[in-house]
Amino acid sequence: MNRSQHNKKHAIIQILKTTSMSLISSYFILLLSMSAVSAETDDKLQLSGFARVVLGYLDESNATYLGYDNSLSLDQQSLIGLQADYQILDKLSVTGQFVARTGDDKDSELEWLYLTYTPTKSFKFKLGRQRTPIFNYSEIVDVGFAYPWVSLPQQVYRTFLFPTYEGLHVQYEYIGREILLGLETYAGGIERNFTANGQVLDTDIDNLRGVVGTIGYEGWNFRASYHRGHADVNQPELNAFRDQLQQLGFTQSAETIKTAGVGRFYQISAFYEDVDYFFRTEVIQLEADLSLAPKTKGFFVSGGVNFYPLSVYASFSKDINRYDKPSSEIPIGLIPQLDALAFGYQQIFSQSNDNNTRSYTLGLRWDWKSNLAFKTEATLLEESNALQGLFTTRDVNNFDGQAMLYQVAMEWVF
Amino acid sequence: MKLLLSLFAITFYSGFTISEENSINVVANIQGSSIQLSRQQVRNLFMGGTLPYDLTAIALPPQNQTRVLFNTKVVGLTESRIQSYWAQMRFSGRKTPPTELSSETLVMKYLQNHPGTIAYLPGDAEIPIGLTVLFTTIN
Repeated sequence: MNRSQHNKKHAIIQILKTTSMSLISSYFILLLSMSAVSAETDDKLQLSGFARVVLGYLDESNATYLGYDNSLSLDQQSLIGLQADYQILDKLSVTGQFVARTGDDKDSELEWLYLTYTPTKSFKFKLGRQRTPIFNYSEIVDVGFAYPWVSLPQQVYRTFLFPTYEGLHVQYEYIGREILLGLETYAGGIERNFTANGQVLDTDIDNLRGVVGTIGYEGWNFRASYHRGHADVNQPELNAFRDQLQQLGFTQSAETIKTAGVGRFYQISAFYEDVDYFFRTEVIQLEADLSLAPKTKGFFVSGGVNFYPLSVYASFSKDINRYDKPSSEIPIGLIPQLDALAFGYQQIFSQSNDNNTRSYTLGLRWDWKSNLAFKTEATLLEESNALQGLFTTRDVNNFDGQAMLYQVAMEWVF
Repeated sequence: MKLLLSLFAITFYSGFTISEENSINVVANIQGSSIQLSRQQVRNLFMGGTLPYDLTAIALPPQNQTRVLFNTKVVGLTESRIQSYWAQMRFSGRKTPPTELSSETLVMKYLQNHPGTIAYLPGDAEIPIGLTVLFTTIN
């Protein structure tokens, strides 16, 4: 057993001693067996992983958010991910990553399964199932250890349209004397169930493609990207209703019900960090020709100070969501059948209220070991109309659109 | 107040008195050829980037004093941020961290036996035969 493995086990034993929570213990027993496995493998196979235990409490009895309500909850964002990398040939490897999640509406999935071909040190080709690199942290939303927050700024990171794809990703990197340039592009598609606002949607995504450019200079990193894909959300009832409207001659109304269409993402970000400070901002825009997806503009700004091994940070994020308006083509008050039709039509748009949302976060991260961190954060969540936007559910008669969320997390990589 | 100010001045000044003891040399086994790297190139190389020259980075473990100095003076990040960065790179299939060897002595031996390898060493360490300094932090 070498020193790092010894240290790893020593750390695990210490943690087991200091906590008695059964859930956490079972996580660590699993992890312990993982590190025992990794000790036996040779150079060609590398096993690694990440785990997070997140405790959350929403100080509000009239709404829920990310599965949290006004009781302490451990099983909304806690998860464990395992990754295996196998070097097949000198320039060819295969990687698989499985993530087991605890949240009710979150699937446990094989998130990554791809071949990597590295013909030169500057080029990398990845073929297979991958996370879509839409925003800075899109590929690693599950790896809490990799970012300062407990929950990523939701105004940017909750957009659900194209989380994964199956296809080809090409990456090129150039290091100049002073700057680092990166260029990547990908293309693919996927048919998969996605969960949005507690609803499971069977979605067929094709013709998904994007381009990402990055520039690194000193402590700065700039990223700009564009992504585009066609999404077909299987909603048979909605399609049947649209056909009925079409047959009755209400073509305008029928056209406003869109279960398939093109989605476009625009992203730009600037990150700065040095030994003492960090600053991050990311701005996004989403346009989708789908009834259930609003046109969204969102951003976050975040800054922090390092007092190694502690860092404190503050974040503000905001988004503006605008939906297509329903048509008023169907006459009301003539005959009951038409009234029923008009009512049914309006019902579809009942969850299409324009809204703005904001989050204000203060947090602290403590890097206890080089692979183990604790975080805590408090977030004030606000949605403008108290009907739709940020919260998953709300009691519309009593909710004022504001709530405090408190979270504590333990993040581990191994 | 004066005392406080002078105390502050002493602390401030001592922060800038850098001797050879806390400088860093980046050395490589490049078999006689002569190249000089910029700080940015060294930083990128140890953060998993590539260079036109075919060099493989070798690192020291976290908590090692030379690594802490290298993080501060060359990379410009805290150890915890570097660890977060590697988590992001590993689990998005982008880059993998350099091989780590447990001590400066082992690093020097490894470099001597492996052409094309590069590592950072303390400024006061004697450069072994066959290794070339490609970058040094300014004292």
